[in-house]
Amino acid sequence: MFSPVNYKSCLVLFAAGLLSTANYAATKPTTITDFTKATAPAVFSVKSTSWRDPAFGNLGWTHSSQWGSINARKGKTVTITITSQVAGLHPGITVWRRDALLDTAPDEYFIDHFYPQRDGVYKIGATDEDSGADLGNIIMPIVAYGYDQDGNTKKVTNLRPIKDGVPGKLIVKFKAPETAVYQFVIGGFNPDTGVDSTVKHNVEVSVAISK
Amino acid sequence: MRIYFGLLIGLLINTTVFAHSQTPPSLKGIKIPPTPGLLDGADPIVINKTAAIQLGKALFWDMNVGVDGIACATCHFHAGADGRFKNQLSPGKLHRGASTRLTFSPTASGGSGGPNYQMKAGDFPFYQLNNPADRNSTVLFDTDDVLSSAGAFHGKFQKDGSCISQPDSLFHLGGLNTRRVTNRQAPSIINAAFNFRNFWDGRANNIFNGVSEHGDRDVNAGVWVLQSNGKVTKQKLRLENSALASQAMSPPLNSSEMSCSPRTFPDIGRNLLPRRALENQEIHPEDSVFASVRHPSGKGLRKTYRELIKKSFAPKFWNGTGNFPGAEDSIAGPYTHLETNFSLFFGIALQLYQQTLIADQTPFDTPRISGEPEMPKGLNEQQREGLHIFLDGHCATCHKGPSLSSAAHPDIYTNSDSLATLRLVNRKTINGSFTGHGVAQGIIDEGYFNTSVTPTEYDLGLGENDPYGNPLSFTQQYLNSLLTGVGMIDPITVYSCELDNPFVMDFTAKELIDDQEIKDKCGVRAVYAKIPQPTVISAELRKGLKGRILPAVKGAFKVPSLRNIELTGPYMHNGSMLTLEQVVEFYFRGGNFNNPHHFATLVFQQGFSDTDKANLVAFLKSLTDERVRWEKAPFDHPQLLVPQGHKITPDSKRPTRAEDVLIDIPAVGKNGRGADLGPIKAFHEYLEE
Repeated sequence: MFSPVNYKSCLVLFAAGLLSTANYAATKPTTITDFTKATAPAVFSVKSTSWRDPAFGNLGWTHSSQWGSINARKGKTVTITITSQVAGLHPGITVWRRDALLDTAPDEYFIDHFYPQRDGVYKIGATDEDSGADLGNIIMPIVAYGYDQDGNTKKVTNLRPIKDGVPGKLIVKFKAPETAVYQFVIGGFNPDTGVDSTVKHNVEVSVAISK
Repeated sequence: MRIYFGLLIGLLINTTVFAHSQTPPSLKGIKIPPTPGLLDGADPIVINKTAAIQLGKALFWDMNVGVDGIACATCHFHAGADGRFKNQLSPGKLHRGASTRLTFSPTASGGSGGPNYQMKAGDFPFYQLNNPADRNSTVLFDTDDVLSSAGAFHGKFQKDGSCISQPDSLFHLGGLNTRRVTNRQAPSIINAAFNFRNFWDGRANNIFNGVSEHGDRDVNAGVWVLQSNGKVTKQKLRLENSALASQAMSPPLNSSEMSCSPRTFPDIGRNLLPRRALENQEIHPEDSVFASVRHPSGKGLRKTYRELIKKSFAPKFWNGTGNFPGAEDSIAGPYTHLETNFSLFFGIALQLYQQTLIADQTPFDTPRISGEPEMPKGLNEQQREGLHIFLDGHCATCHKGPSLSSAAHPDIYTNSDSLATLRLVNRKTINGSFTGHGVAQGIIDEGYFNTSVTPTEYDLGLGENDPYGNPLSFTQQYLNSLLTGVGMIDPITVYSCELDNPFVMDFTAKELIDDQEIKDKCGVRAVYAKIPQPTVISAELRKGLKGRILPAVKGAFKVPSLRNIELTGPYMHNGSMLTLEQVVEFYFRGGNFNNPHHFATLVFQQGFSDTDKANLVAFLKSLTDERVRWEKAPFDHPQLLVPQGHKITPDSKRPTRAEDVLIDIPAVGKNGRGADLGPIKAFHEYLEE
């Protein structure tokens, strides 16, 4: 279970130019799967290095990963379980909250073609990357993150390696700090040798919200 | 922000599907960016637009405009591009400092290449890999040669209007001169009216100065205007959104294209003015522009160029008398006012004609079915699948807006007023980290990108300077402005608060200063209105690729429109790809190389299947306007004789030259090509295996 960072402090720092955050004219993930009402798992398709790609500054790729969302009330515990359907793929996940007051952009927009795995992301005065249309502000403080360390040959301590004894499986829990929409992105990190890096691979995703 | 907690009425997962990008809009109804003062106002330059378009079409197609029978249309007769396949190779002269820049390579198929070589399908692409889907596989073939357009013979201009043949050490066949070949492939002129700048390297300025392609950079430019006191004086001209007129200033004087040196526009005017327009070329009786002015003989128009100009333009530009400079060497006496301003008439007339060449009747331009993405009704099933790939594969990020090019005037593709400027300079994530900290943030000219078709040093493109030593790119001008405090040469406004990746994201507060001039103009983005201090910029520039100030303009080229792309091969600035399949393979393998300024966030190995690629190609073919394929109005044209290689025998009239082989392109009227001619075809269909 992870604690949210103080995003308002981040915002002040960001505005003062002291917080480095990836940025871009806003883009849309290709799909966002809403798990709020679902109990059945979904299958996501992700590339094997899409959550953390050393070729791109160790950032994640927005469009090579896949996205989900949930509405959760404050205090509820959310459990996200990811199981790779391909041997050797190690999933990673990052969860953000769309701020109920400050995030005025449509939820289908994200700030960039890239994402940081463990930072909040903010864009004031975001514009659509195609039309240039004003979207409002994207304010998404970080909530949780982590990756599958089982069988993973790399260990990045500050990205929260998680071991449960099963390579390819990852479980992340967090307590909702606010009643809000939570969006998460799932991708791959440091695949085993032999996993094709050019195509997407399936991972099963299920979400449970405490009663 | 949406928060909703409804009753649990089902257990199905709700997956909302978005298009990665929005479907670009139809081109129908999109207005060409206006040029204030040209046709409007109390004292317009053009007083008869219809006559000016007749003049422009005549000048574009007339083989008397260039030397050696070269018309503008010679390199743009086939869907606005060049469809020739023999004697079209150039040795890569822009490959600076390389020993190969003046030598021709053998071709990939084992052909000799060089002058008079006839291209074969097996010569493409110019960069061949053992596994075309994997750019890291073994390289089988590479060349810095360019497939472009044959133009004039090498010669020296004489003031009597003739050219004296000069020995050509490069373009020759045995002892016989062959036609010279240009340095870059000729792009289609159709829909070029929407571009903010023109030429692959953007050097055709948005501002037309009446004399050259350089806009405000040419400080001596001016046109001669008859004043109310009867005197003729030289005045500055600044016509906005006139990159087509600027573009028209270059080829007629270029000694590889339409000229022998040192010919000038007044010289061209002197040659043309007394002549009937298109006097040696047949005009179709149903020509959409010329039918009413066609000469009874069927060849040319009834009017001379002098008459057409006088009918088109305000008298103050041609009705004066006096001594005009530049004619000191002329054996035919001083230039007239009309001859002196001939570049003005030429540029504007060509622009107005080319503005009629708008191809907006394609399946893609049919009414849309709403959804994610919006789907044009005219697309078939495979093309619809291809549109999804087009959007998901990042194609629409550069090929955006109704003209399908981000090199268009931003007003064409930005349908909002959310930005205060045109944002012609931007700062974007372009590549992986060179520093180990985050990604490389390139400062780029919108609409000009390095996609690694060739190594950057083969051709710097937008990274070059103009003849006055100024950078072609807005990006470099902007950085110079930040360093010196002196404004940019081109009249471009850049707001630091409107950059996609503003400087505040990766510079500390101590490194930044307020962008004072714009701070109050940024609205909610005021927090981004900061620029690095000049000392910081200098320090970062010294770090080269590892610096946080990374001008990404070297090896960048204009994003071409995709409209009619099926018919406008060969592709890329060097004409190196034969088919759309080769182009798609190139993009989806991530380019040929990873140049330092490669836009790798858009061009990277994407892992699309063969079916996806085929669907994308099918979609690209939905961008063809059948009027272009059949040369129906406004794409009809006069007869044209086009040189397509040579015989290995001396020309009977000029024995130092190899004899031309000419293709007779017949005159076509407004109803287009008949069944006997059939439609024009894709470039590859003309080639032998």
